[in-house]
Amino acid sequence: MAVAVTVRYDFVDEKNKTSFTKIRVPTGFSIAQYVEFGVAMAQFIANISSCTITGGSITFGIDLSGLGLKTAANVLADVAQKAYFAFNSAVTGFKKRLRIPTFDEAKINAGTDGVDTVDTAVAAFTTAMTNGIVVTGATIQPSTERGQDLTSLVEAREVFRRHRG
Amino acid sequence: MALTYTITYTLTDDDGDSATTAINVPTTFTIAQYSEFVRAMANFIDDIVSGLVSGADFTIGLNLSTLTANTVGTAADVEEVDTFKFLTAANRPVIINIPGTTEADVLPNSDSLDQVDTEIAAFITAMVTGVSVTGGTISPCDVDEESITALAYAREQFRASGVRR
Repeated sequence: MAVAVTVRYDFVDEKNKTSFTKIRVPTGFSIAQYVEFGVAMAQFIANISSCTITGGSITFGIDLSGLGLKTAANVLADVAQKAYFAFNSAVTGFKKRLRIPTFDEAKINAGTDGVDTVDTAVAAFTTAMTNGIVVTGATIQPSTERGQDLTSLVEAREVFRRHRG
Repeated sequence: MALTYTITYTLTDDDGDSATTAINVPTTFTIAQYSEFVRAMANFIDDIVSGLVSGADFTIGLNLSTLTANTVGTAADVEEVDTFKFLTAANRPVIINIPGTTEADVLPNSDSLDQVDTEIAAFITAMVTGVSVTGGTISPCDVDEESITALAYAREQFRASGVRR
């Protein structure tokens, strides 16, 4: 089953309270066409709302079936247990930081909180982050939020965070 | 213009709790190429976590700087919403709530929105017949990609949905 693309708009009112609405549209169009739709629909909405539209985004769900991923979480897996990775980018001072929830405890170096970065699976992940992934006709390389390519791993360690709920 | 697009993975642990992690990528590729990337990276992440990679999507931000009339009105409130109930060909309901009702769009002695108001009518038409984009028309739909074909009602409602910031 195809799952529709979601266009979301965020609002703020005179009291600084925020809210949002979502509109779903079919798959099968290009990013440029979705962006055209998103901006045009935003104008229709701006014309009827007394709030200000503060942002808009388009989200595409990705089908992960057929990849052979785990079908169930391992016993004692916990989203509060994470691995923190920091990557240098091509521009000094701009780093990409991310935390991977439910990080596999077996990949932490004994007696430390350091991630075992020579573990085959960890190394494969960090290489994909710094060198990118080859896709049809191109290589997509992860970046910082500002678009600078990631160049090297700076830090990888275990961290714990509170549950959201 | 968006500097990067954001890929978000949702991970679930054996308690059923979920958390997310995000990776940024440049904006110059196609949906098919991003899909390939997301699936490949899901494999790398699956190999280093003990939880389940339970979902993935990628999100692009919209540049809404060209909107007109996108200003907050006096007494605008996100808890006062225009509720539109649309129907698909199979009579599936699609409810869209637009925060910030413009009081002038509500018919006297009623909670119904004035469907012949130019701007309300324009929004309804865009939802039912779609928005023309370069090379096609994108028609809003339900979550299963069934196109919206009719409006069931349009009325003012009040919801405790606002979030203070």
